[in-house]
Amino acid sequence: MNKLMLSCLKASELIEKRNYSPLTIADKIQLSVHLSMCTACKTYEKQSILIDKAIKIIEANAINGSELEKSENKILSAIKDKIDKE
Amino acid sequence: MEKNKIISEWASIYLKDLLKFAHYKTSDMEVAENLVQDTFEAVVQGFDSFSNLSNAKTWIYGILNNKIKDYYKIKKTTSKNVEFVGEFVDSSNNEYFDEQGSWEINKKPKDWLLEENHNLLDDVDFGEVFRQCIENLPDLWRDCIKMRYVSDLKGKDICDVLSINQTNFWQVVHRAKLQLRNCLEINWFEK
Repeated sequence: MNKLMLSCLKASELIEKRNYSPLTIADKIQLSVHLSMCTACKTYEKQSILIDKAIKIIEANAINGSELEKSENKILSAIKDKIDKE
Repeated sequence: MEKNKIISEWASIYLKDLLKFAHYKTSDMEVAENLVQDTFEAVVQGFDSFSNLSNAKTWIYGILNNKIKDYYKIKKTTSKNVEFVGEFVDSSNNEYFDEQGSWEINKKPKDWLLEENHNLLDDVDFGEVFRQCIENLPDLWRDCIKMRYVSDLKGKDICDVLSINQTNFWQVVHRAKLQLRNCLEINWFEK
């Protein structure tokens, strides 16, 4: 592989990294060049996004909204009591 | 007065996400509630000796994290996903790529025909396979890819709470995604 080109390993790693911190300009350019030429990594990118969506849905359903709110309110008033006593 | 105001403000900002995080780690809302309540008691007590107000979020998550670990110690059972250390990855040894960093032939992502599968995420059977594939990940790997969704932490704060350095974190996320992707391909898309 050409030295100027990212490897697929590096490209797919950058696809994950950019979700957490901004890429450098050089990384951004190299990644977009790579993705314009590499079907496998383009496919990886789509699948990575799908996986994140699925995780988000699972985690949103893992918790009961009204139960969460009840606990939240209970703790809020406990904190208020505690603070008022101090 | 200042102290009370600040703590009440933290509670209103962070409480929901702290509860979500504790629930994720314990799978029990009542336990989560107790742990978060204990966390805030520790926050009230420790407030005066805590000076770095700008980094309050990481501090509070750190306290909660320790409470969660203590909870499992007392319970004397090891949680499936409480252990944060271990299972680091070595990027020089990655079964998905060859020495040049190109995809290994049999690990190369195949087209999942997602354009024709609009309702995939509503499919209960797919959800079940997905859950199973996530369960199969090493604990730290699972925590790393879920952290964005079970807490409101971002970037470096995630690494601090998981006690992992940033480079290693991306590599873990990457490796976890590769394994998850591969698992889905074998158990769903090629079935």
